[in-house]
Amino acid sequence: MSIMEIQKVRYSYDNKRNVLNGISTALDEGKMYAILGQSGCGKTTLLSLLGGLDSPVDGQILYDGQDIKKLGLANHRKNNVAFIFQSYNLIDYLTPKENVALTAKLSPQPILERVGLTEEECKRNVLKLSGGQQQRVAIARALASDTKVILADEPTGNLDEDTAAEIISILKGCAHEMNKCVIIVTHSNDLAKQADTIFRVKKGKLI
Amino acid sequence: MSTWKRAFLYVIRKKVKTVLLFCVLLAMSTFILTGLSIYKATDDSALSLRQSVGGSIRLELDESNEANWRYQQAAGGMMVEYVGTPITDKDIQKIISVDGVKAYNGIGDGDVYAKDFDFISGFSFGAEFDDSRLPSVTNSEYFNFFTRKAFQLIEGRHIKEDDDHAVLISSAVAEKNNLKLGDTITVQCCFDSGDYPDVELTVVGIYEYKGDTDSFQTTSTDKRNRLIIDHKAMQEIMQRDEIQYDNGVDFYVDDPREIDRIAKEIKNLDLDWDCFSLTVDNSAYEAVAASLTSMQRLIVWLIVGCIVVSVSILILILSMWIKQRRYETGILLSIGITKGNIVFQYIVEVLLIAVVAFGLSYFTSSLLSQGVSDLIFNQVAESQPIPEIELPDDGSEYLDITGQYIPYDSSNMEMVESVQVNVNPNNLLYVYVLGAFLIVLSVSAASITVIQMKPKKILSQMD
Repeated sequence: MSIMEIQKVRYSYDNKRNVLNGISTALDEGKMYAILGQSGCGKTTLLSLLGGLDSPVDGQILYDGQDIKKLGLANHRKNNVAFIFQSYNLIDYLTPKENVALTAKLSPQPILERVGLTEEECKRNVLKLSGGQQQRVAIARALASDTKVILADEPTGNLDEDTAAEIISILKGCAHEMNKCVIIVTHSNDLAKQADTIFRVKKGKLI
Repeated sequence: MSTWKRAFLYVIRKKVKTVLLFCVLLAMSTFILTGLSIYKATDDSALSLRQSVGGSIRLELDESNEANWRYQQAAGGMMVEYVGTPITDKDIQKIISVDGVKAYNGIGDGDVYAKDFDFISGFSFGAEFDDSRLPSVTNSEYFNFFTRKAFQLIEGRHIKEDDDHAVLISSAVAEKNNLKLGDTITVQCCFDSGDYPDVELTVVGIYEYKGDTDSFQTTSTDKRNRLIIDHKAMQEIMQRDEIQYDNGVDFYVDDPREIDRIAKEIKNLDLDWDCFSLTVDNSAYEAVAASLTSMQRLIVWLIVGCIVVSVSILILILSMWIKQRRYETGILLSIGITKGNIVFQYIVEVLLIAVVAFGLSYFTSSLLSQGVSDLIFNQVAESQPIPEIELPDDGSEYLDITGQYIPYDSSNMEMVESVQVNVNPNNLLYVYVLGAFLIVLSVSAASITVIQMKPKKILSQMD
């Protein structure tokens, strides 16, 4: 059974032009999905809808067979999905360990070590870490929340090639080894090729 | 991670913001605590002043009702006789039972010759003996000459309700006749009609007259010739069967602020209101408490002003900071923390700083409050005109039984020179409660713009 389903979802900013026009699909656990598309095509909007940051104009987003609107969007964000952003989105007055502890249902330290951070790095101010290290903290935070779905918006957008490869490798591990449903929004074909399934958003449709 | 822990970590790690907010909250709480302490101190001063100055309600025969008076031609001219209901002890007992009435003083009226001593001589009409009007009182301490400080007891004691043939004389009469406490004097009613006996009175007290003695006076109108006696003596002098309160009865209240309520209750009593009238007087309190009242008004405005300015500054600062924290707000929203929980974190952060700032304000306010109080009090006192007591419409209470105005010695009036301010823990508790409310209000107002935004919009503005 799919962990998430998109059913005839329509989204419009101004009720005139549909950014997403009645798209439907199903997303499974243990797989990594890539959503490709040009800037402004609606791929980040789709990710926001999946993550309960916004609601579709029409249609439904189901999590485990239930409408996330009925579950409560804040509740959905807290218990069902975890975000990883391009700009890491870490809280600057907390250490890496504390950032991970924000959502932690699991112990932060082993997860931080698993994504490659040392104990010493875990105690530093997050802003004193490199971009790659900050993104590892963001991934650790997503993993510590112990949700079945990870939503990543351009997770390697600010990283160099080598670090980006490492991050992709970690995300693939999340899908294949930890049985999570990882959905990555990207405009990079190279990154998308690493995914198990690739979607393209074009003229409001999911191809 | 709990909201409290997030808030605590923010407070200890954002040191500059914490120190700045601490200073704002310390200034706010110091001013409010100082204002509250001064207000409480003026309230305490006003209370003790009210208790010492008091206020009175006078019950007297209604002179305006012609039906109560009978006029008849007599040998010496027109004679006026009261034919209405007299004020009796039963009436007095009804009034004294009203809540808030603490004491009373009934005043009788007579006119006597000095038989074995001399009055201070004034303009004389050639009578064989000098005569003078004399009041009888229940308690001379409350007699209006003493309450208005025109008379001051310098020897002996006041006349009390259970006295029998006691008299207070002036120091001038005592000196002229070489009288001292315990001596006796003899008087006789000087009314033409009737046969009046000589009555012996024992001097129990000597008073000093503080008013003007140089102006033209007859023997009868000279205040130094007032013999203040008890009602039993008056009964014998005037050959009356019962005590008569010809000049009314003054009822004294515990708290002048209650005087209108008490007067209303007295008015509702079953008394013959066709024959009696009631006059309220708390002018002495109003006069001496004028500066305190003005000061309290000013303090209330200062506290209100301080609260408005503090809340405005807080809202301004917090609005800017919360706007800067949209990034953090977006992150917290994306990980499923509710908007309410985020606002609660902001409130807790300010409260954590406030707990320390408010506590410290106890000491800063203790240092400041007396100085601020003195400054305000002096300003108010300088702008306040010298208090004057207004006469009631008919001026009755301030007229001597001879119809002359009783001088008022304002130099003897009990004035408030300053207010002793102490910052007490109760006031600090008020600051904590009020401060917490203002903080919740300020943070909520400052958070409105961010809280109204959708999580996606906040996050989209971050990138």
